[in-house]
Amino acid sequence: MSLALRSALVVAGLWMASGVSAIAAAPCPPDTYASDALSGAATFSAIFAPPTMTCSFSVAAPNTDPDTFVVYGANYRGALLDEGDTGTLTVRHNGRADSFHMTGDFTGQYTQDGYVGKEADGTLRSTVTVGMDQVADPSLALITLDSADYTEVATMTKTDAEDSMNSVGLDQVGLVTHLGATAGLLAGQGQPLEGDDEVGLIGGAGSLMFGARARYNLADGYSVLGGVSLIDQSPGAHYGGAVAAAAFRYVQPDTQGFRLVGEVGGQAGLLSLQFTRSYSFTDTSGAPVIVPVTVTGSGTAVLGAIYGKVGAMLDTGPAGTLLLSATLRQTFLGFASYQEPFSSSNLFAADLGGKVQSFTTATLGADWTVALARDVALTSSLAVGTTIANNGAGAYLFGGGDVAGTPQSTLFAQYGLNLGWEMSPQTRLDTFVQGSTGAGIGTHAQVGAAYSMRF
Amino acid sequence: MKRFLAIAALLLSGAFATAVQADDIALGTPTYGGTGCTDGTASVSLADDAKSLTILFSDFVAEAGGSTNKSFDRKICNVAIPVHVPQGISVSVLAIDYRGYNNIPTGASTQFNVEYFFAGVRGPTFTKNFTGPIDDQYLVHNDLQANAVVWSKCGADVILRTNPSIRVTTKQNKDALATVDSEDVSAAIVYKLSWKSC
Repeated sequence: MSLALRSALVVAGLWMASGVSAIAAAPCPPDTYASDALSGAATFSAIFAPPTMTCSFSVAAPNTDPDTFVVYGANYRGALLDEGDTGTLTVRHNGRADSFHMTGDFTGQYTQDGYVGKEADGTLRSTVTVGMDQVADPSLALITLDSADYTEVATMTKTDAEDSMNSVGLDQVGLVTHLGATAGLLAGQGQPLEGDDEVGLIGGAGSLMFGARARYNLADGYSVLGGVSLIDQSPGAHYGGAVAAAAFRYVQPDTQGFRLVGEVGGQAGLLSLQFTRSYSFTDTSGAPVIVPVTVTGSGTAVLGAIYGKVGAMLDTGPAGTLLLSATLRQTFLGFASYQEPFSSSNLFAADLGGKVQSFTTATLGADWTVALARDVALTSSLAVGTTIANNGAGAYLFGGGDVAGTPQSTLFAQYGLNLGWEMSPQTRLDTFVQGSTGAGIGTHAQVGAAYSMRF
Repeated sequence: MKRFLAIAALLLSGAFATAVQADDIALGTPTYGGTGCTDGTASVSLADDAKSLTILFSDFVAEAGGSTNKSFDRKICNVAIPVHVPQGISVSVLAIDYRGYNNIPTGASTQFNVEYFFAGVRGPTFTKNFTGPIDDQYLVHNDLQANAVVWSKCGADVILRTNPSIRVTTKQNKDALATVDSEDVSAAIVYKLSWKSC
């Protein structure tokens, strides 16, 4: 998938997610509900159509132990009349929906199978919609939901569920760390601190990026920098989309040997992303069996970050400067939508939609710029830092409700080389290598080039 | 007003292959609900030994045509019977008998459906069709083949579920009526359970 298409999908996904609203439905409590330790049976007499009917009900899960997550097999039985007519039963539960499109047979009866997960409050909650689609004779049309029967098929402990989020949490730490480095390129990171007013294109391979960036000098010592780029990266987790960065920079005007540097800025991103999670559950549909699961989910998220940077720039000779800096960045990652595919082999699927995570990144860096020739400058960058998640990765888990893992963190190193060539008084070509690597977060590396025009 | 009674009796028969008298199979008090057995329209009688029960229905009647002005009517009764299953035993439904009553004119029809299952799994289903004119009792007898039955989990209590329904369809607004009925109290619906060691 092209980067442009991916970005378009990200934006579309966010827009669609913002349009989703909760379905308000009248209650339709069961006429009866019977349960034992493993199963439950709810019966109804007031869920019927045509044309359509939507209502909600809730029953106590057979297993209400708050430390045990449980998934139940569900059987929905009802009538669909007349033979040849078509109708739809939709059951919304656990943030998901099962839709059954059916054609009435000679018996007029139907049975549909699904799953439902226990909620955190120990209930099984569903919103049901029944409706006729195609009807030959309206006087004979009917669709009903007569009963919902549940039986336990899988369990896992709450502790295991929480632990399963730790790998996702570490992937999020990695995303924030690596993407921070890429976004930094858009605001002049790894380049000479000072320069002329310019605008240009930038592209990188390895961790893909393609965008534009600009610098504008406001007054002596003050400048604004920024850019936007499409990205597609897989240092650990896979993510793509669009990122933007902007910075307001102050560099103390030329003094003898020692100049103060300050910078504040922000980063933003519209991302599609994928994380992989592993866990085990107990299949209790027969003799208990431990089932290992490794699953990759996908979704969309918005990233936002603000940062402040202070430093000192030292003259290292007639043609060189050394910048020593410290940066503190706070990043927020909000999930517009994110789900793992639910299946019989991933019964405790995670949904990160609506979750917001925050991270603090502290970096110490050194950037050394030296003029190799009258029109060629090399900037070498090295930084070490840490990214700390402010909270554990959260998700809604099918079968148990909201969980959060342990807050994750990493120590990382970031490096870069930028070779700038003044091709003409109006143009410059930069080539660069940039990377970041850390404990548990994989390695991100880019080789790229930028072409800038002064104005 | 004519009153129809429908009677459900669940009878357990057979003998345990092993001595499990101390922890015997036992039925609990069933719950019921549906358009054919709304609250207060059925009575349950559980035997002293908790191995059989009877449900009497007073309003399991489907009526169409005539003053109803309906082309069809459908009634259903969902029954949930808790079954205590001792360790080392699993149970299953083996045979079912139904009795009812039809009063349907020419051009009208009745359909009786039922499924026997344990909550959360599927079970065997049965359908019986009647075509008018009929004014008579009916008997539906189902002998399940051994390979068609659904067995409960071994040693796990289960909820035995049944969902008999009856639908009557008529034309030209002619009066049509069908019931799950029992003028003979002894056996309108008979459920026979079987069990095996496991």
